[in-house]
Amino acid sequence: MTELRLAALVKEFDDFTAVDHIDLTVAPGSLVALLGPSGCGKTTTLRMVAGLEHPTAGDVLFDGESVVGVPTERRNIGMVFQRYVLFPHMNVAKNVSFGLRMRRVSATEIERKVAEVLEVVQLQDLARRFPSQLSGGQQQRVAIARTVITDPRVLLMDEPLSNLDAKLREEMRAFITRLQRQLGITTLFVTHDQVEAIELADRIGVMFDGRLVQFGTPEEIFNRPRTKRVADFMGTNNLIPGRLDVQRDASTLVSVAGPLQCASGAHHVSGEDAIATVRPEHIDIGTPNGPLQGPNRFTGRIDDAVYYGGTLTYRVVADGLSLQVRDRSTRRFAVGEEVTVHIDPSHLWVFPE
Amino acid sequence: MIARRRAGTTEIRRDDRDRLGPFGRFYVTFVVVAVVGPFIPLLIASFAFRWNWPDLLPSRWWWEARETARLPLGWDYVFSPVSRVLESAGNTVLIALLVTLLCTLISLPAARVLARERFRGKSFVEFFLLTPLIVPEIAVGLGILVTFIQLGLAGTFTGIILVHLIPTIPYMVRVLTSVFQGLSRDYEEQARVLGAGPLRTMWHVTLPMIMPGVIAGGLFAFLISSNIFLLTFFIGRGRIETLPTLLFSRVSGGGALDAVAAGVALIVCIPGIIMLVLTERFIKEEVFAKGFGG
Repeated sequence: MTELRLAALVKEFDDFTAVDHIDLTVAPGSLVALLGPSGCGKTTTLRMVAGLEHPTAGDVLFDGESVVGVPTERRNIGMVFQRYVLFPHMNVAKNVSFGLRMRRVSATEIERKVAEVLEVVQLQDLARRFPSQLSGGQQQRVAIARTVITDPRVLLMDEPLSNLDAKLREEMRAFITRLQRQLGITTLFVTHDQVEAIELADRIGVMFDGRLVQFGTPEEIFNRPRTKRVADFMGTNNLIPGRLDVQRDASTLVSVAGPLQCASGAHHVSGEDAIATVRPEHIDIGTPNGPLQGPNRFTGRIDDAVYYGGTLTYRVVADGLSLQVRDRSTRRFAVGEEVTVHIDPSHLWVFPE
Repeated sequence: MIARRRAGTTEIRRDDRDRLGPFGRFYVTFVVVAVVGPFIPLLIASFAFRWNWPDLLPSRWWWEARETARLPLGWDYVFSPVSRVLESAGNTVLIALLVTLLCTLISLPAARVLARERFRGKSFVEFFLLTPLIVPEIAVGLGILVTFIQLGLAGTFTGIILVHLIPTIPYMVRVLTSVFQGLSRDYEEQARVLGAGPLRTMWHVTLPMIMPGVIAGGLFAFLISSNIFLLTFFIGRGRIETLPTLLFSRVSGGGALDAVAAGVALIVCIPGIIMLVLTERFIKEEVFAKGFGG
């Protein structure tokens, strides 16, 4: 298994900087998703790893060895493109064996491996078909089979699921996860879909404007965003804006609903605008004048209630704040009912506005 | 009820599409007459011995005069070595094939760069490639003749092939540029990622994928080359005869359409027709046609 490392990687085009000093390590056998809106430089980064784009500065290292001077065809990588890019003049077997044929592997070995890989992607009956005779999902599986058959050191995927419909996308997501774990290939995955990134990746790198803004586990990125842009992009819930007031051992966020005591956060500078976030399941909810005690208590009204996956999610409007609250208990509050919500300071995450 | 009526309507529509209206019928007839029509007098003339104006058909046919004539007449003459028709046909095809091959080899890289890259002076290069279509052949031909005489290329096959590249390359580059524009870079990049170097990528992926376009461009080049008169005439200096120059020398006398000139004129058309038929069949039977969304 290979470790992939990007060191201060820069790519400048004529008039703009597409990739701006990216440092990133993909641990051997793990899957890292580069997540960001289109035009953020994630695909350019991927293309530099593939050698299809030459970096302006910085380095790409496989197991600590620079590959910048190595042409694409000798990097021993695999890449799955957004549009599958199957060769239309070759049938499935020929497409899948292309990489082996280019490596001058013997015919018997090719036959054996093709059969083996086609079985893994469950396409053994379609070996003689041409790409135009396959469905989108089948084409995608051929593209993946063609890529993994050569045992690449690093697998690169450029939005491989964006051309599939919702149901197929889910299937392919599960398939890719399974295959990647099974083969243990170091994988860099580019996507603009945060759900996809959260589900597939061991680590996520969030990119904006050519910069890597945050790198961490999906849980960290989702629950502890470093900036508001990350929070917005990840669809993080319960963003409470306010102004920070930092004392010696406690910080307080003064929000429209009043002061909130916070225990943890990305930075603490008094007087600055900041945002606090809390997961819906970390907000306690109860009847007014009930047993809920301590700081960070608000009274509000149930605005909406949605039942999903065994829990009720309420929208509570309290003193100008709109909070999503997930209640795992069996009690039920009706829409319009008055409630008290309580947020434990340790569950609040503060980051700069 | 409604559904059935709808189905009926679409069927009527389909019938309408298959059957031409009065204007469509007139148009098709017109095109057929315009294309085939001129060949009919040519065909009759090639079998005539005496055909005087204003007779609708020849007063004496070639086969009637054939027995009594001392010299080969009509088609006999065309196919006799004296007429040099077969020799010129051979020259024409040989030159056209070599021109097509060279033209393709030169135009492929040029078209690829023009389709894919942005560079300074690109629009100038594009314009420059078109100039042979703008500048009169006679001006180019005279200039080249002077140079070629000094280089010893005048009157040689090499010289003729070189000048034939002048009008063929612009067409070929244009055709291939649009072919390359239609081919996404992804395919070549995918081949590279899978371990194919630039040459093998070209051979295994690019060429098969653009083959229909290359064949279309090659057909153009072949037809243009086999029809060039002026440049062949100048540079060949009468030493190398092709079908167009031979035909010209037959008809330049006075414009009378004698049987031999008519025969040669018909033969001049043959390479083009053969190429067209071959190309049509080749493109249809092509295995990879399957890959192009067919």
